[in-house]
Amino acid sequence: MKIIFKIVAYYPEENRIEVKFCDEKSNVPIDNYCEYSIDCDNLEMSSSDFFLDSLVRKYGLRIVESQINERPTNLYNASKSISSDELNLEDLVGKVIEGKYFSRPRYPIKMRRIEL
Amino acid sequence: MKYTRFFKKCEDFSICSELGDSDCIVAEHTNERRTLYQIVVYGSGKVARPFESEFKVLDSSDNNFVDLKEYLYDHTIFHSTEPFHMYGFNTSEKYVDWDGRLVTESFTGDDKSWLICFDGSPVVNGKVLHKLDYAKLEQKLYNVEINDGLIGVFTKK
Repeated sequence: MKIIFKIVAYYPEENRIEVKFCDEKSNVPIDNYCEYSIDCDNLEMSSSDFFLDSLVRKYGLRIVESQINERPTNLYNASKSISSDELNLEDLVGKVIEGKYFSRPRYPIKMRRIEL
Repeated sequence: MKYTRFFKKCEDFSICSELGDSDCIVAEHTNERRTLYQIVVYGSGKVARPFESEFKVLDSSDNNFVDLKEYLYDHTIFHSTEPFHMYGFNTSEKYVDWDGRLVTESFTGDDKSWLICFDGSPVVNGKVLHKLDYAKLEQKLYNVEINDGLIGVFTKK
């Protein structure tokens, strides 16, 4: 996902910008999204790279994730989550399953419950 | 430098596992810090809250089962001093406490306890356990031949 933004106003005397964010593939023009007032003291202003990184990391990611979560889910995309240890591909055929992954590498352990 | 984490949510608790080289530095955020006990299969390291001089030693010889409740819901830093393999026993429900201990001989269980085999092939009630076998206990006698095994018993308070 590529996060895009548009600075719609800059107030040097307040060191503040007003910014709109969205994901590049959004069907809605960025101008239709609401703007957020951001204090530049909270951003890294020493170079363009640091500015982009701090703006997106501190604000853009959270705002765009929230925009995406607000979109309705197509009825055909309503998913189920699976948690059973047993993988049975035949049971999964034809079903819409929620994909999960570990953002910080953390892999599953195989444990076996027994009776003593 | 290698460092790998594993995780498994079980019924009332979760188990994490860390495997890595010597001289790894691993920071854990307060949101993730739910480890009550650390079990060391091999290797060694130290764990502490950031910027504090106090730390706890984890090693497979004298400190292979360490109570880490004082670091619960705090930021922590781990530094390995040898290649290591460790497990963490974690509470699933915040603020629910557990007692834990290593088992080396026969004992009487109860229905609030779980037994976990962390290493080796111990025998319990005639059954050979394998690494990461676990069982809910009952109010009865459990005959243990520990052999080369590393078994923990954890009781929900």
